[in-house]
Amino acid sequence: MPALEWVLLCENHLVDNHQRDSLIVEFDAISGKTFPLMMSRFFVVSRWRVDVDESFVFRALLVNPGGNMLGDGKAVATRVHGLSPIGFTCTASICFNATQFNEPGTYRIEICANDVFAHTIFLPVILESKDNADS
Amino acid sequence: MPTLEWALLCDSHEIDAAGKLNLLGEYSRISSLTFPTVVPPSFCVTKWTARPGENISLSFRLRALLPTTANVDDVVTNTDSFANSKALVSVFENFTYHYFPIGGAVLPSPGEYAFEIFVNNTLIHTIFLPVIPLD
Repeated sequence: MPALEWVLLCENHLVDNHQRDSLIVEFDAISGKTFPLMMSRFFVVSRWRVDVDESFVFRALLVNPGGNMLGDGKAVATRVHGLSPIGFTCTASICFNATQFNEPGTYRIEICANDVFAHTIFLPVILESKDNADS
Repeated sequence: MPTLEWALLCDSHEIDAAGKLNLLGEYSRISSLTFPTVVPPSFCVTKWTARPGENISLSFRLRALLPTTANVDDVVTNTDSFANSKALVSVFENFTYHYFPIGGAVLPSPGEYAFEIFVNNTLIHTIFLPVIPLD
């Protein structure tokens, strides 16, 4: 069973020629002055430790504060980083496009491997005050 | 007690003009033609949840797991202490980053290494780092 090493949110995910990841604009919350708030694109990037030759389905479910599913992304984790004495690691990434947040509140991103729950990311979506320009 | 959100190794990091973190060249293994070799210039970047003003005492240790004959004297250890200086204004302010330089550490032989993170002398997280010979 794959074991999650880390997962984070970022606005862009790049992979270079050496198969190394760059995570651009890591974030842990979203703010906006008006709602609904549209986020054009963001990534859920995760690193897993897996057994030899193991592949799995990485899934990220975006759930709104009311408990309703807002988005569902799936990816087959196949980009393996190589054998080590204790197994492989691999990166799995899902891109959410044109996500609309209708109201402020704490959203959740549920992370699953082969439909088995692995982790929850809490994503506060905040109504920004007029004198606070931070995003 | 601060909570570790994630920890990863990368070639470099930068804060953009909006104050957002970019992680460049994340890696999870090291390959080398010859041994001993050294860890390339890079960082262990960690993200923490901590109370505003809370002091975080961190220690880092890189040690060999396999083979057990590796010279464990050739490890890097260091201790750092810093305060989460952000004021409690919003949920944004509970997070803080730490960047620990790890370049130059000597890796005497191929094998499995562990990069260990301690808070107040308690081991809270291990990043496994395979070191692989190139043919």
